[in-house]
Amino acid sequence: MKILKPAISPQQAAN
Amino acid sequence: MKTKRWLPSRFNAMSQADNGELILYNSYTGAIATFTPEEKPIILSALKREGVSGELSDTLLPLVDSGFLVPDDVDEDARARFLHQSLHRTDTMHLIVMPTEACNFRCTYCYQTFPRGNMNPEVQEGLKQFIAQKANSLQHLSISWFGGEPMLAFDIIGELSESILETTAKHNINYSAEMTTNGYFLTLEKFRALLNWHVRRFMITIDGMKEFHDARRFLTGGGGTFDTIIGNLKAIKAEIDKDEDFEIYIRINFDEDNLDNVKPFIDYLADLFGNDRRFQTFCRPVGRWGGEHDGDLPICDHRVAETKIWEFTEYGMDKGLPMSSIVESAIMPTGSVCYAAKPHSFVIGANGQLYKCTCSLNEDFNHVGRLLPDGSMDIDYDKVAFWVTGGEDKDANCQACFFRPACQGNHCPLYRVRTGKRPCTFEKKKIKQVLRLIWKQNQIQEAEQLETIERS
Repeated sequence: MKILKPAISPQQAAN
Repeated sequence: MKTKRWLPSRFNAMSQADNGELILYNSYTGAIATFTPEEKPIILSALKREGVSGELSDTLLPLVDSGFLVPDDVDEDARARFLHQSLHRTDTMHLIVMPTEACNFRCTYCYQTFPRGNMNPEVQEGLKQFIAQKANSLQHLSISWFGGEPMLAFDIIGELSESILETTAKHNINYSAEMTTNGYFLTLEKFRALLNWHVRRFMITIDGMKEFHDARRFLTGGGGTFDTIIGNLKAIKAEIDKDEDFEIYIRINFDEDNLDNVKPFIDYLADLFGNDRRFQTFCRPVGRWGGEHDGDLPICDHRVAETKIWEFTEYGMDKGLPMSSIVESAIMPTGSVCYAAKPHSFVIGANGQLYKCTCSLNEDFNHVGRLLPDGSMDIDYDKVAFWVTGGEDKDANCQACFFRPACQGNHCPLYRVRTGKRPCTFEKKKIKQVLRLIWKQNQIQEAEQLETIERS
């Protein structure tokens, strides 16, 4: 598995 | 003790890369990952409806971290609702500012009516005061300079920017700015000033080669604009430091009239700006956006449009012009929620009128308040509620959709209210294609980085 985009949290998403 | 069971997330989407790898994406976590042809059958088996039970292998464990597999007791509906609530955090603000509502262009498909000119001095003062008063509670502030043509009010942008930069520096606020401009007045000198004012992203529309562009994006007196815009962009490319951080999205609006000219135009752009990652393409079909010529516009059939967007985008990538970073950010969690649907976002007109939406400036339901000279806002919260509370919570189809965390059913509240239809994004409709293009862009960037390392 190669990660192109890491997971982010809802808080990070809402910035 | 109950055996642990893992289920595939309902927010997953998958695609296949050109080299046969599996691409997996989750709209709640924003994770995108690829798997080799050897890993692929193991992954696909784990993502079957019944999921997997017991201890996870080393191959499957990362699927949990990325959100592709979720524990069987997780309520993903609650996750989506919580994500929606997270937009109500009060430490971020996005303001779309119209330093003028006038424009020097009269584009055939434009929906604006240009009712007034520059922002009044008392509104400018009100905006400075508003931000200063909010500063104590803010961590993130983003400003979109919009209009009209914002560069007609360049001095006002400077005046406001200096004040905002002072306030945000003093309160340690993360400040970013962008601009939607026709590019006509974007001279080298002014571009440098804008960079100093932290304007780092620019959307500039060019609709094809000179004869095509000038036939639809012309001056108020009818004169052409192509040569001036291209001249400005060439100067920026030639004179601005190669390490300077900015992005210019060259937006190409296409319809039946210029459809066959888009690829030749991309060839032309690639000759000028290819292999400079800061110059990116953003292709969109012309729509009936509310302008006086709507009935005469030769808009594309929606199936043609939805295919051509990505065909043109990939054509540009193959020529060394990257896909706009807007596309990747649009599939991130909350990334396709319109500013009109966000609680802490307002459009500020030149006369202090507050709106939620930039595309229905003359509609009463969009006149949500007024910015006063003392920096206070007089807001009609019932009107704001109309924009902010629609979407997924009232639409069962949206609730069941894999893309729900990215758009929350609110990609375009205006489209929903005007047509009664669901405002699904172009990215969602062609998610397999978009994931493949993101993978491809990643490959191109890696090859470029490798080349740079080898050269040095």
